[in-house]
Amino acid sequence: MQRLIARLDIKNGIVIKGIHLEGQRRIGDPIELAQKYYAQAVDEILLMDSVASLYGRSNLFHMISEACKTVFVPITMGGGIRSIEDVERALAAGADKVAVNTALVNAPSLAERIASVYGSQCLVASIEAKRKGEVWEAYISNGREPTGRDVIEWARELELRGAGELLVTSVDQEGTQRGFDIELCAAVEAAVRIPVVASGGAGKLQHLQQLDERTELQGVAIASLLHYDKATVAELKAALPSTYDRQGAVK
Amino acid sequence: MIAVIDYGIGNVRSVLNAFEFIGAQAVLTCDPVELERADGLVLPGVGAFGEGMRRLDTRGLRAPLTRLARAGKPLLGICLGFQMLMRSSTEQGQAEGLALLDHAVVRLPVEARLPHIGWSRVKAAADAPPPKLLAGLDNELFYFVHSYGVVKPKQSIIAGLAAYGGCEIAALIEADNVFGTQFHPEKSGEAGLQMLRNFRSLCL
Repeated sequence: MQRLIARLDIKNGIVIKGIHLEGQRRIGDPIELAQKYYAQAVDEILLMDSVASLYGRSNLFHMISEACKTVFVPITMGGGIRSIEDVERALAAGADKVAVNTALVNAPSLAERIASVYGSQCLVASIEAKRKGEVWEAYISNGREPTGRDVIEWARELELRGAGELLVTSVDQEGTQRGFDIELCAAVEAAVRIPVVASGGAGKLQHLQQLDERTELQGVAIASLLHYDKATVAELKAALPSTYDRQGAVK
Repeated sequence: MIAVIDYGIGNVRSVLNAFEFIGAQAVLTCDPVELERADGLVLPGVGAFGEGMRRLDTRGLRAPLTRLARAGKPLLGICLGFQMLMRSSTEQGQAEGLALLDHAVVRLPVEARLPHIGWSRVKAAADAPPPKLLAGLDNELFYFVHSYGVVKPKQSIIAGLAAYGGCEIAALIEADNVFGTQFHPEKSGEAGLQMLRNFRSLCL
């Protein structure tokens, strides 16, 4: 594990936390939370507009601009990125990367366009995965709409098209605090050679340890544990002994 | 005043924010007159090497940048900006760089996953004088995001090294007034801000 990422899902300007990406418990102000996790030495921050796909646009550009004035770690902006112009705006606002799901499903060639202009490292392909028997199906619009695509095949295609990393969110586990879908993480990890970040399900420190023992993922995105003050960034890092020492510093 | 070079690519906003945060005056510009007046230049950048060079050329920046750097003005290249200081890159075929430094940029020859995204320790090179930009910062963590870089660096201008996937990467170069970091100081928390303070003090 190389990166501990704070995930902030945002609706109408407020950080919210749902279950299975649905629902909307209000957590707090995005800028204040970003500053708080930055002060705790989080490795990265992911700001996701959770209703952008619904309304077809993102409201995060201004928020990214504000956050980047005081938060000096990498920031990824997700939700409602539709076009190369949206990527330009996100980067101009101070984002380092964009996380894209729906627009890539609708027009996969957008991945090549983003990668060729801004580089692969700028494109986080976001996959919302729902278990379907022995396999997983990719969803869009925050876990609401099935795409008919197999997650593993889709992950391979996204890599070929130039995605720099994959953010794999288990819709089944998201918000449940019952642990990661480790089989999903391992299957995606085995299918591609680009970095993979797991999201969805962490409710206690043991869940991170389990993920760390059974996979070699590059990153993990954490929401509930941080938002509900169940753990600090340092405590989360200490739960990942393959990467961090007991003081939370990278080995 | 520090001029952050505007060539229509990259996370320039964060670089400007970081300078503002440390109390330095920084402007985003591609005007050669402004570049001439600046105490120091920053060439930021993310993305593809060829595209970056094309955009520099479209704005007519290659000649003034090269001239000002050779005349002794402090210049800091960040990430892609660092790579563009070099002679060439193999990214998307072969592309020529600014050639202020005689190194080639290649795809990192590692088994580990690429891009290399994450925090790595930067150590001062053993056989070189202590890096000016790392004053008070030896062995700190900095944020990297790249698939290409300068590897197996031997020359004495390599001031700082990082490791990824068993490969030694040039993390920091210092050649008189020409500086470059493969990592992003503007995204590396307090250590990165301190590095930018160090650069600024070299510009005064």
